[in-house]
Amino acid sequence: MTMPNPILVSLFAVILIVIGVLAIRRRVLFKMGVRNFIRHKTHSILVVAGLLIGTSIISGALVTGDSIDHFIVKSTYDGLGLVDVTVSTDRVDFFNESFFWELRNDTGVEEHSDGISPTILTFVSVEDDDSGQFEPVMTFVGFDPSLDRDFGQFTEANGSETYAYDLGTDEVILNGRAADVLNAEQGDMLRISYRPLTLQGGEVLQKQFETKYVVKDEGKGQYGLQANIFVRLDVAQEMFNVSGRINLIRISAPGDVEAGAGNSDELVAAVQDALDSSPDQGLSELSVDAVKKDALEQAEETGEMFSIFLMIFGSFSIIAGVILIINIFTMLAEERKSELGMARALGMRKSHLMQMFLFEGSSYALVAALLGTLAGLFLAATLIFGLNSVFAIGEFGGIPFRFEISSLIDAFCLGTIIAFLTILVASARITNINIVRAIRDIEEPVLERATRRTAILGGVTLALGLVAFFLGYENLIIRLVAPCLALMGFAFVLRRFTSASIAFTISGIAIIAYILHSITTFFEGEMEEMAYLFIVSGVLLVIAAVMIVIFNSSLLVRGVSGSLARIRSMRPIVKTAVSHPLNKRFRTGMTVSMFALVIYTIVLLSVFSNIFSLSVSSELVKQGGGYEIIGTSTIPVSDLNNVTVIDAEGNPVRIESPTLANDVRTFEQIVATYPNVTIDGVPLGGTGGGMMSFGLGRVLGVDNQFIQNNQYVFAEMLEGYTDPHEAWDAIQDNHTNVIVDLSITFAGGSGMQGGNGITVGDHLTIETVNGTKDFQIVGILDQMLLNGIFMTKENAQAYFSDSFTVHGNSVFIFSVKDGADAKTVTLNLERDFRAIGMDTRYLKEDIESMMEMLNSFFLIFEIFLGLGLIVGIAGLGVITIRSVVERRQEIGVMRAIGFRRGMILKSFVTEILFIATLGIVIGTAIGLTVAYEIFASMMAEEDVSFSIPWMHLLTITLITYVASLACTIVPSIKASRTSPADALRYMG
Amino acid sequence: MKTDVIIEGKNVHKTYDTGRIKVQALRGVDLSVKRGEMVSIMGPSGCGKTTLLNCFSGIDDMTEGDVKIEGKSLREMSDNEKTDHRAGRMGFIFQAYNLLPVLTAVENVELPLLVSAVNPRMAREKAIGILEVVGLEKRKNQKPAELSGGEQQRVTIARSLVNNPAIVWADEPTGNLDAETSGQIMELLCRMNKENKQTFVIVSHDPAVGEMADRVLKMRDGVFEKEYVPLR
Repeated sequence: MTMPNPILVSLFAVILIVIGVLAIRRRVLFKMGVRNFIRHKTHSILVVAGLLIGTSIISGALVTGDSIDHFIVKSTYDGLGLVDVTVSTDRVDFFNESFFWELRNDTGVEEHSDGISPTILTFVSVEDDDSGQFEPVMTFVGFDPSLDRDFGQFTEANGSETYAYDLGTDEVILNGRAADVLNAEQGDMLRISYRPLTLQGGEVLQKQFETKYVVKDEGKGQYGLQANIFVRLDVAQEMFNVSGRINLIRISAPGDVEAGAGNSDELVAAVQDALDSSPDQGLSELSVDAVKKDALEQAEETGEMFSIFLMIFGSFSIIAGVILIINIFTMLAEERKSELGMARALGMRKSHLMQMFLFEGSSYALVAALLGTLAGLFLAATLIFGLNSVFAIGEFGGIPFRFEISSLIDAFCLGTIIAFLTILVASARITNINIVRAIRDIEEPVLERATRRTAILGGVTLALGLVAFFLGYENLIIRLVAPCLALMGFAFVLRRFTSASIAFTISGIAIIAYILHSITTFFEGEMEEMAYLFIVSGVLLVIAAVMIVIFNSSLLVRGVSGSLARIRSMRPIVKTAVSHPLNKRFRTGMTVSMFALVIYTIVLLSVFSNIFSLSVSSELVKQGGGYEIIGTSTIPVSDLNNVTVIDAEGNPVRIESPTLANDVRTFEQIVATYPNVTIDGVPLGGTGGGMMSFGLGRVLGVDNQFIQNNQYVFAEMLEGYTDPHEAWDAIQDNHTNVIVDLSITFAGGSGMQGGNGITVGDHLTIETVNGTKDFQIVGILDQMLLNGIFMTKENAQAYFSDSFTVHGNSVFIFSVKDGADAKTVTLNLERDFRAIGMDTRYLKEDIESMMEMLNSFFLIFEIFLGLGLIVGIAGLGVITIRSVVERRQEIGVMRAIGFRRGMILKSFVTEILFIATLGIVIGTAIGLTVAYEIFASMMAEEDVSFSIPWMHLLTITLITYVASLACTIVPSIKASRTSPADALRYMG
Repeated sequence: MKTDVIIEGKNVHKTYDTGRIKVQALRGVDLSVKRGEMVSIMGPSGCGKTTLLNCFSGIDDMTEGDVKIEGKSLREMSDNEKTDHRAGRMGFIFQAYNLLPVLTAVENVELPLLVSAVNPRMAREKAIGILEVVGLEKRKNQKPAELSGGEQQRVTIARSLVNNPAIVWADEPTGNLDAETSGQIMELLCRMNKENKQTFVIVSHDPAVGEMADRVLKMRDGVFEKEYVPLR
């Protein structure tokens, strides 16, 4: 169990102690504060609803992280069972079994392990003769039942356990997943297609086995969480013609499945020592990996990363929540202005008033944090449900909903701390009152010019901003914030000489211009830094835009009144509806900011998800390079046209594929291997490599036919090349030249632009049979579906001659004849070539499902972001309730002079829509502008146009309006139904 | 055909029922006011003056009885009809001025005209014109908070007169003002009454107000106690 964050808990404790001590010392103030919380129930519910969103986002993010962490941890435990450390080879496919015995007899290894087993791990194609089902790629595990004893037993479906000592030479064990895909049951006859190392070219062997056991997907029965087929090690060695050789040693550290990972460091050290001290040179080529520990660390990192990612996106909603608190307290202070003035006049100190607000605010904060933490659980459950649906990870059991109590405690503490600190600041601000004006409930005068003191403070801020900018230029956040601070200071200096409208408009425009001008440079930063910049720049942009709008409210009133005044009946309604919010600049500015912040993020996300979707869509379509189907086989073959299967009876049977003959126009055959590839010492596609690591470090050996036929376009070519053929020629002419696909530029690295910054002319270091060699990238293909490092087939076979995979083709790309149904061709090719483990993908379908997945993924995050709107809507609700009370007399007068009930209702509704519209318009405008700026500087050169998802944005806007109205309509109706006589009698 | 009596209330009762207690604010009031007459209703606090004004003007419902304004029964009017009637035919002046704080003086004054769907430009011209009459044309763009009490009350008067109402209801129009300003306001109201032949019903406890009216009705405990014509 993880422990709560000690800093958060300590801070929370300090706050609680401070409140507690103050409450004991000032019982009357405490009672007064808490009474307000209990007395105004509707008001309190809205305030708590608004406040709890921030905490729920924090809690939701942490719990989602916990669940993902747990999912990966569980998958790791399930997939590895008791295996903690593996010994394998990255380059040489098989190694001598004697290495295993050396390790087994090593005293150091023996001391730090409680199990060690030799294994052959590879992929085969399996067909069930009884059910007729086949699976082109299945994990094949060759194990020794006796030596494997320390890794536990298999569990059969009926619950009985077995070590499978009685497994015969013609018998196999299937795990649940394998039995499912084959529709197999005990006793079924299976045909395994495989190719021994000694066989070259087009021959594939088949061997028949009987299913001895079907075991549960648990313990060692689900290696790598795959469909597994287990055979005896000696049988596997005979099949692959690798007598006395293996390709994996599995070792268990002392302790059970979970405890073993903690003891793996000593074990790795002991194994490494044994390998290093061995006189056998071959041992030094083996790599020792603490697979479970690494995977667990990865799990923790991934969970944490996901939490941070959600929190970054959710931070705008959290900030909106903070603004809501300030707004609520400002309104509370306005409501109780006379009361506060009287209290001050009667001898209460400012600190007493502050304490009263703190007590009240802390009540809201604690209840909201508690409810928010619980709401976060619901939020996380929803997110996980969404993620499970999108990524179809049900076959792995799906991400389970799990949470650590420590995460809930952290969320609760953090939520309370944020709310408390905000309340502290807000209380300090609102208790700073002029006693006479407060008692008489007179509005604070609007000064024509700033006071000397304000101007000096502005000057100091301006100077500080400039100094910080020049001293901290290297820090991107300072580079962003400091000039904005200086500009704000400048506004206050300017305010001494001119009106607030001019001063703040100039400052606001300058801030927006500066941020937009420099926004793209911020994307040079590291991911975490970029995230902060994204938040800070968003907040600054919104503040600046709201500032401009609010300080030019008279123009706005005139504009809105003028345009709506065309409807005669709306004139008096619009006049009153628009004037009210713009008269309360601070309150309105805050509410507008809440909306604008959330809308800004949603707009930005939806624009980019739209551009990204279109970009991916258009990219992927052209990525086919003239081919519709990609196939990979587990068994490399010389020529797909000439594959012979030696069946179980030893009879050669040539694979006949009518589909290949009749429906395929042309196809290319490519060799593939998986060496260790590094760029500047950093492994490409992660550590590990080897057969199990399909991906970025793949080398593809292509022949002249491919070079002549393919229509792939280049994203980049070495300077001087004008034609793709020059790049292809370059890899033929020079053995150290390679071409890569686009995905390599996204591998690793953290920058946004160009991923890891790999470009043409850069060098890749690849481990070859002759040691490590440097290869120059002469071209980057504008496609990612056929991913790999392209070199000629001859070069690949020379450089990686010790890898059996390069001696045959295992990657095939097909172009379908006109009139043939590509999807049917895809399925038929897989069936026809099942003996070589052909796995085919219809590219169009791949693209479509990828698009669907991307869109759903973005939608989930948009919904998550949309939660922030609840803050804004709750804010509107609070304002409306307050306005109804505050303007009761005004409502009376309006009714007296001829406003009908419906007009009062319309007036309130118009006011609500006006505020929401300001927020939506500002948020949308900033979101679109920022999106365009980023697009123009980062994506303009790509073959994709800037496109705005208008319908999507319209839907978001409509949802916002409907939700805003739903939340405010009740108090608005109440206002319209107020009897004019009662309203006029109301004394406030 | 216009009748000479513009306001006619008979047996008007008003009872406030709070659930726990019932307060009889009006106990069968009969009142007739002639067109162009300035009537002052006086009495101590809590005698039912404001309730009478509210019930007779239609901004509050009466419990019993009926009031006819220009021959139309308030009882027979819907809420919207009463509201429209107020918008077109009545003006209101309140003790606390009750101007909308977010609007400027001229915007406050033109509001009843906009409610009556008058063209905005005409409404603005008319509002400025009436502000000139009350001597505030130079303060037209000030918000209420920037005006003195007397000025605010003059804006209220301008607002009550801007739609050329048949009846102006004034509830303690000088209640918040000093004697000198009160005098000025009453003179203004009298002038309007004389010049426009509008009917004024003024509720006040200030004897000075009563002295300027055509007729004074004294109230006590929800009924009229006495009626007299002030000596000038």
